[in-house]
Amino acid sequence: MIERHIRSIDDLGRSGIEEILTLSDHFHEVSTRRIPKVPALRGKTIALLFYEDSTRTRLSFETASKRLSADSLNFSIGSSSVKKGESLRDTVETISAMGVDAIVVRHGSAGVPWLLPRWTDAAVINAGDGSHEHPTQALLDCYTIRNKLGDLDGKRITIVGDIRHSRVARSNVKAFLSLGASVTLVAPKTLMPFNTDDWGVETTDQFDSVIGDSDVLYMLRMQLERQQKSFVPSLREYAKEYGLSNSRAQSMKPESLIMHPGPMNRGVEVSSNIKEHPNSVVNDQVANGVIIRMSALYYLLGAGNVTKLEGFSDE
Amino acid sequence: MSELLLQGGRVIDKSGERLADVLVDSEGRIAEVGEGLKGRETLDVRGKVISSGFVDLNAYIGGPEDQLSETIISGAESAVKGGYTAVVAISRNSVVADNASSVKALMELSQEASCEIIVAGSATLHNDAGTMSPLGEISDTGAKLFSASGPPLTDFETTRRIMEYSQKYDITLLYSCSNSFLSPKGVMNEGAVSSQLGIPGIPAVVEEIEVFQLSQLALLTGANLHFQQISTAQSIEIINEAKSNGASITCEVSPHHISLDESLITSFDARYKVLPPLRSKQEIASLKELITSVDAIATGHSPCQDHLKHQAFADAPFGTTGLEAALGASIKHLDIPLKEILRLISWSPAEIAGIGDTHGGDLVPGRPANLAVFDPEATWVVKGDQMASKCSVTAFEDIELKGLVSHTLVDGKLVVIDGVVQDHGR
Repeated sequence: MIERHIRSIDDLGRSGIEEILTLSDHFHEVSTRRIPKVPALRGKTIALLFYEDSTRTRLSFETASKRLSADSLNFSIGSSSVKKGESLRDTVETISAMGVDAIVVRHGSAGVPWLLPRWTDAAVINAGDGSHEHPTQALLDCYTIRNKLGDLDGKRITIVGDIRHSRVARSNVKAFLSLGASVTLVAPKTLMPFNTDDWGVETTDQFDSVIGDSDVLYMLRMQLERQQKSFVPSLREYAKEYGLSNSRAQSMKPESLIMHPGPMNRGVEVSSNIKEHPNSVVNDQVANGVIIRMSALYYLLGAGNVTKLEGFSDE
Repeated sequence: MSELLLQGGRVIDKSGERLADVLVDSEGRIAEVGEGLKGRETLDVRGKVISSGFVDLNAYIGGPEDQLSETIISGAESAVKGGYTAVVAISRNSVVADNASSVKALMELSQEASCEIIVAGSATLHNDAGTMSPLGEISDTGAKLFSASGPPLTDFETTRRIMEYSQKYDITLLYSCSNSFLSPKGVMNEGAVSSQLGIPGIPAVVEEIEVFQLSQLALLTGANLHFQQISTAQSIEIINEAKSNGASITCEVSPHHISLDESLITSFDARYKVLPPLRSKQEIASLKELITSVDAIATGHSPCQDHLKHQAFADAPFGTTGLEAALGASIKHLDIPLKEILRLISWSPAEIAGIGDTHGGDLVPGRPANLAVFDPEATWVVKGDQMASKCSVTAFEDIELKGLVSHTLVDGKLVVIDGVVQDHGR
């Protein structure tokens, strides 16, 4: 059997991304049913191994598991168990011994999803590893854009904010480029990765210069503690230079989209009412989260054939 | 101990290379080097090199911590397997070498080790506070090398005082230049790879700034300094400049910094987490071009309990073992004559450690037989679980090296035979 994981967008490539987006059209239909549940993964066990607090992502994976009739096990592990001396390996081997088919893992350090397959046969889904990747977020963002604007091919997508520390940005850059979009990163140099030479993107610290050309403005969450470490002099100045204000939103193309991975700092990276802006698709992103995670789980654990989806009838 | 004849080897020392037998007498000294010698016990070493044993300036091995941790005893077994006959032990566990009685205790423990252990003192209290340890009292025990890293870089005053005060005792201060002032969370080299992986980086200038500052203080004070684990070409150029201005400075590079690059970290395996971090391929190439002005290859052997490396990259401790891979990595990755490799791994570090009388010298009658026998052409693949070190996690895992030690003699006694460490130490 071919080992299948979704640790990075690289694990999927263009064909994998497209397969998951196609699956999502089917699961979108499922989610509109009176009982939005199918027995597609009945008998499968999915472990949710969260080393970092997360409400949205964990709930969305848990809901996705339930809608596919899989059993989910929750492991929320604070940093304390690390300090108690249990190594990552011990924890993973313990969970694996319980017999799980997939492990959804979030960890504060980059690379953890790559270590897991050494200690378990379960498929691995990365729900966020440090500042590295968050592939299911990128998938739901691609799905949202595709539903609103059609094919991503040739679209101009601008990602604004703390790129340096953003796993969302790293996964999205790979996913958007895979689907043929062009990507511009906007950030002060302190929040730009040290070296993006091989990324295949444009970079700038002049937000206003790119707004009018963008089909998507993707605003990243600004961690409030960045101010303390002098990444920016003040959140006020950051908001002024890089925040999406109502006046900046006016210079957008009429059909372009405003996106944000949530949770928002209203008044920092976006003005207080931008979520309600007519071009905002932030609520669609949230709604698509469950659907995409159903697709990701089914992609790894299901029959695997998109055209012959099994077990899709109402229960 | 009976006479031992090493027969038909390529004897390489500072005076050159020749095919010869080496006869070791019952006192553990070299009795004769020449052709057609006879001895009671004979070892056929045809095709192999016989050289002075290797000397490591930088191994983090110390007192007994618990059953799983490397000690001076297990570290010495790893050392002799790698061809080392003397190792500078830097203790950074619970036994801190910042007072005379701790240093004496470590020296006592070292008597049981299978090679000579040179216990390094600590020039600061508790290894990290900006307070000078009693250098005079400690040096009375015989310690002449002092680990001086620890004071934050900003504490120049203590650093200067230590450099000045140390000179009465003819001490050499050991500095590792990897303070985290520019990159408190950094765990790998800052560059394209760290940016891609979203892992906090450590820029090369962290090392270079500190090398420059300490070099200038060495010039100001006249202290003897040895820089540990230099990992960039620019650092070596700064050191060379200071040397040419009269500073009493030496420096080492590690086997892993000349052989392994940062791209290995795309596996996220914490075995590659070392300090200074693995650099870029380009940096390694530049570093190797300056290798002839480097004074020593030293391992920075930093064993830890295996399970500590089975963590996320950022959470695992820094360090790799290196004593058993040093020769093989050097021959494989340095395009220089064997003689030059022996200068770096044996002759020159013996002088820096102050043990040139017994280690690293020419193979001439009367000298203690501290010798390594190795096949410089043998290629082999590193397997951590086959190492003598208690730590089986190594950055060299599955890496092919060239050059393998078959025999090690410490004071004339065979402590390694056909690559197998013998029991009972010396």
